[in-house]
Amino acid sequence: MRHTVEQPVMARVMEVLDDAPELRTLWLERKMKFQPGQFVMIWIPELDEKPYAVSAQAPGHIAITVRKRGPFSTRLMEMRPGETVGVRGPYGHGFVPKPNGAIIAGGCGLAMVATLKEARPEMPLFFGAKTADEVIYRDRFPDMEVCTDDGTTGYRCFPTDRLRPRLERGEFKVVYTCGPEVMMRAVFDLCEKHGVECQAALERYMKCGFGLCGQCTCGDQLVCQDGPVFDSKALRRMEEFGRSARLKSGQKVTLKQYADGRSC
Amino acid sequence: MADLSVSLCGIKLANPTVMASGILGTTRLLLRRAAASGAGAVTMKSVSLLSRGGHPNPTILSFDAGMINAVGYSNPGLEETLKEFADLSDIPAPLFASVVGQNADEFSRVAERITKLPFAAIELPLSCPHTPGYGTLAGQSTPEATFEITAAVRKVTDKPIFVKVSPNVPAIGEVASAAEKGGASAITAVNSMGPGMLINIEARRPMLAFKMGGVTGAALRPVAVRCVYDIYKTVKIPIIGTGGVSCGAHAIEMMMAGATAVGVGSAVFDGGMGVFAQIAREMEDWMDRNGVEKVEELIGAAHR
Repeated sequence: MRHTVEQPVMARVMEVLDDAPELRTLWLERKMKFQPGQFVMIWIPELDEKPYAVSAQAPGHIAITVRKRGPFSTRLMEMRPGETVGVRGPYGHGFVPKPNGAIIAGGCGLAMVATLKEARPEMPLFFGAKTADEVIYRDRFPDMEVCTDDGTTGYRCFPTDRLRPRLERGEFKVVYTCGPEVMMRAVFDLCEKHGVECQAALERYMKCGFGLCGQCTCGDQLVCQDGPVFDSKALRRMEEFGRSARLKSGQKVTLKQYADGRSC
Repeated sequence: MADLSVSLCGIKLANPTVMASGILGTTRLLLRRAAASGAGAVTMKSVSLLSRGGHPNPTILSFDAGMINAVGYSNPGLEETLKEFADLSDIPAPLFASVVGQNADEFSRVAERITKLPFAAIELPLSCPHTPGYGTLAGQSTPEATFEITAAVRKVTDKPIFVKVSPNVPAIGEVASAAEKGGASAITAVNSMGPGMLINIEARRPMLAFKMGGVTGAALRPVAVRCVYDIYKTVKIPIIGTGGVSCGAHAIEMMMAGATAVGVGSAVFDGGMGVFAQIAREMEDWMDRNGVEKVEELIGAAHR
């Protein structure tokens, strides 16, 4: 039987990049082997520890992309080069790359699929944001199809509106997605309608990260260990997918209440 | 074929493994999955009167010889819990509830509602080492408090009561005796030990957000075996031996010390949910090799 030591190991912040007014990418000094879709736990001593996608990688370095929400993410965004954070992971199961795929992301969910796009640059990438100010990684992915809710840049629609006609034409065999869960649910339903496989990266309140505490459950699955990426077969069995999530206490609430009650 | 079934307070378990409280027991569906993967019985995550967010992260970490945790009894509270576990009919193993409180009155207020759910028994952890207001930090692990709380809950339920005891007491037999006198039907021995602490030497800070936490896993096992051995000599009621069991040999050792059933917790970290079936298979193999037909013959074998 394996017995691994799971503890945060400090990593130096090397560079902090402004992606958008409330979104920043932190480059950390850390060698790591990971699959796109896996995540790491980031620790700020005496404050808290939260899951983040590995949003980019370079030799000896990984990056995380942070959106300002609560005390933890605010402190993380204030980090300066030379400061350190704890890192453990990577955890969970990532995306399974297959031919004829497309990627669709919303908001900071783009951070989760960015390394997948880099690994498979031929896959089209559809991205939705509320407004032009929240569009990130434009230089990194020049071929990204950008949609905004208010039309301040790109197409004025949801990215699912751009995906739909191409699914109808049978262009894709698999769709990878990460973003607000309501969007992912819409993507999944669209895929089901057209008989296309969907792989979605879910987010739930996380504690241990390695399948012991049962906090991040969705259906009978553990987002930390069985996920965070689930395929259509698993998603079909999850009543809670696109509907409810659990607060830190374990209380089951609507996705809206969950988003409002998040403390990250 | 060896017979792995045991009777615990009249509850029939297909094998002696019991998923310990605090491991995966947050929802009905996770209890079902753990039961379906081979656990002899499963325990829910402890419920308190009001909802609790628990401690910030990190709450659970591992070290070379086990695990350390300070989760802090996060749970959605009594009312939500009554909804979550209202129907347990599709779960293929006996289920145990776990109730916590800040005093005897709170224990009985929660227990008298929880007893109406289809759980086979109610466990009372009087021994958590890392949650202010509860367990050892509230003095619940003394013989006096153990008697008082057990007796209070005895008044509100006819179901078997398991009292979960701390290994951090000088005379654990006295605590177990107090539980027995208070009306306990079994002793769960033991809860996590400590609290212990892990410090990140680069950050120069304790790693758990609560700084200290209960120690479980391999490091706890010899302590747990000794506690079970001591308790077996002191009380007549059965024991659920819990602490660091991760393979069939460990489970057999625990039963020889005096356990009727064997709690499994940290081993899920190492072996996943399949660990219950794995332990049962290994027990069966050992029994076949050693000509033991019924696993119940092993209970207390080290005392004879």
